[in-house]
Amino acid sequence: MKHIAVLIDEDGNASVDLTGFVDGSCANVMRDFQGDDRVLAEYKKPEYYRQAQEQQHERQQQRR
Amino acid sequence: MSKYDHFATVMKDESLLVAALQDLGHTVEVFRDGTQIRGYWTDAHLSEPVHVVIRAATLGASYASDIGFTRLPDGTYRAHVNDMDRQYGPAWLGRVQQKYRERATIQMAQRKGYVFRGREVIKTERGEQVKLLFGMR
Repeated sequence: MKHIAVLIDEDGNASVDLTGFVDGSCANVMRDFQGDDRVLAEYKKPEYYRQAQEQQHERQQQRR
Repeated sequence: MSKYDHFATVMKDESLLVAALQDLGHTVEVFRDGTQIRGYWTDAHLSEPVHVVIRAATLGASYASDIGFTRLPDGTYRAHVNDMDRQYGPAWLGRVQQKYRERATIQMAQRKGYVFRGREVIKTERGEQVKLLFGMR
């Protein structure tokens, strides 16, 4: 299940938290919620790297 | 002596700005071609036109001045607040921008097909944060 949480502080600064995105669509969602805003920091969760590792593993399997 | 302080903002959408101010309980006037505002003290006036106004009479304080927002050529609004009206300084403007951002986020998300699942208010050491929850169709 994909969840998007937007946290807005008392100055109007926002942070976006994406969970459950294992199909690579998180970049598009992030773009939607970012809009014209400037990104100050971006952190990827462990599940992102796990997913990248799995995709690399699949590609290697297909080559064999 | 009093004067107007000027604050840059990132707000660009007039209807969202008006709605954000109304969320905070203000009565708002909109002037497409701009109008003038002046402070409670006759020496406090603003030379540039403003497009969104909160009249002093609606602010409740005895010595309040009009608050104005000028639409700039880049589309953003600049806020003008009399420096005597301390309760309407940067902290108040931050809350306006918080409300604006909340409405802008929900509007964008619904337009792009996301499902709005709820809103929570979280109290932190740095004030209240608003958490908006969305899902995918």
